[in-house]
Amino acid sequence: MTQYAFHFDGTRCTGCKTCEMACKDYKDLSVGVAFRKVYEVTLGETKKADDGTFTTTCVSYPLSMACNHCNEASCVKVCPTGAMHKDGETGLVSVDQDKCIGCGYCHMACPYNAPKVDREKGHSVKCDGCAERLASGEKPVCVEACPARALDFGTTEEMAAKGEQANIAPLPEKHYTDPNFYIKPSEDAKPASDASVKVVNPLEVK
Amino acid sequence: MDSLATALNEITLVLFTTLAPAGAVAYVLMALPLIARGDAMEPAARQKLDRFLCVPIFVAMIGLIASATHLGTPSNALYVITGFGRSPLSNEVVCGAVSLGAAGIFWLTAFSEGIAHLTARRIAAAIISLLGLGFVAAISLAYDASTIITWNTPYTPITTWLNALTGGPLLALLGLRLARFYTPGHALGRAFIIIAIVALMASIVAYVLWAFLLPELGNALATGAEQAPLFGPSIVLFALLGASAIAFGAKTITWEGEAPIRFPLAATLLMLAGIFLMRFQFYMIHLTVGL
Repeated sequence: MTQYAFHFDGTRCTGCKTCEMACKDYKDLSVGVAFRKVYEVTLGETKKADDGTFTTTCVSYPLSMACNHCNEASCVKVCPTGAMHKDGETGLVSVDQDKCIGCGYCHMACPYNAPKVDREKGHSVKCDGCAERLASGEKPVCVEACPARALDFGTTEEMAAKGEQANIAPLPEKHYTDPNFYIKPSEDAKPASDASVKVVNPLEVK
Repeated sequence: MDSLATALNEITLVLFTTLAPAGAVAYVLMALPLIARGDAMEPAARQKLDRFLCVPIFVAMIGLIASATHLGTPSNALYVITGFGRSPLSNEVVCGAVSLGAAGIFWLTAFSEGIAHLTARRIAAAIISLLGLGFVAAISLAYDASTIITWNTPYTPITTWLNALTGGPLLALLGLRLARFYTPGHALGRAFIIIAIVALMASIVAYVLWAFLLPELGNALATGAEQAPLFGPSIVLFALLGASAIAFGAKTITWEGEAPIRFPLAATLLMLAGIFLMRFQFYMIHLTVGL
């Protein structure tokens, strides 16, 4: 099996969300469903001094992320029907809609907020790594759409050469699911599980 | 609030996890005299008890049916069997279907009982009771996902069992009253009340300990405490509802003569309302280790 992975270059990403929109357009996703999301991560504080001046340590960095097609995917583990499964050839995690009952446990268990139950369709939906594009030798549409070339997709070995495995806050420690997501963090980014960061666009990404 | 939406989305599961464990434990408690005493029981009383085993089955069945209504595609539900042993949710559903199915069939046969089948009935009731306890165990472990930080604590299975042991005895008390089944000095009813009291007190302790833990369990979006800001007050309300329920239960067994149905009914409904409240809070505190 060739396991595929995403790469995110935090030193290039501007947080423009073109990747998210390109995915929504290509997959024809309805309002409220997005397979790729851009998290606005912030940290630091702003203080007012006695003389009325302000000093700040606030920084913000974007994190563009879809499904990480984890080796130990929690969504696959909890799925009661086996609808959520890893492809034997590519290692991509996808939903067999003929088996999915739409219970939503995959959504509850995923620490990367990837699967979601589409109530209109009656089953879970998520990023499948644009499997059909991959089959025809193309990269996922989000990768192709990124104007800053901050995203990439390829074999785990290729992506691992470009960055660290999922080591950026607010992501959890990699040992939970062994994600296929490799990151080159920006200078201000904090490592995984750093508790000082906050996601400030929760309504947009949940 | 996102957590409120989560709990409201899962309201049928809140109902399921309230009713099904209580129903399973009530079944075990109601079946105990049948299993333990069998032919030593007066036949008419035994037959009534046998037939009124439908009360806990009915309650648990409502829960199971309610849980199915939240599914997006129930027609694929048979695939759940394929996950048995691998997925905790499959274990829960399969155990529920098997134990309630067996209990339902057993109940139907109560209407054609012959005395020659008594030993077989006792053995069957014992097996079904064990299946019911297995069902409660499966429910208690169904939420065992290491990535769900607020649920991945011992309090999740502990409170499921304690809720079952709080609601179950009071539901069993209602079942006994409906069956007009009495033991000398209400010995069985007293035992049920004692179980409910101990389980209620233990539940309150477990929930308080959980409440102290919630501020420490969080991710970049929120902490468990922020997810359910009324977790603490809910424990107080749960305790009040539980105490009221037990008071009605106690009134049932201390009433001169046959107690009115409204007492055990109020006891059951109040306790189940308290459990429902805490199960709602359970879904509100849902948070993963990540996003």
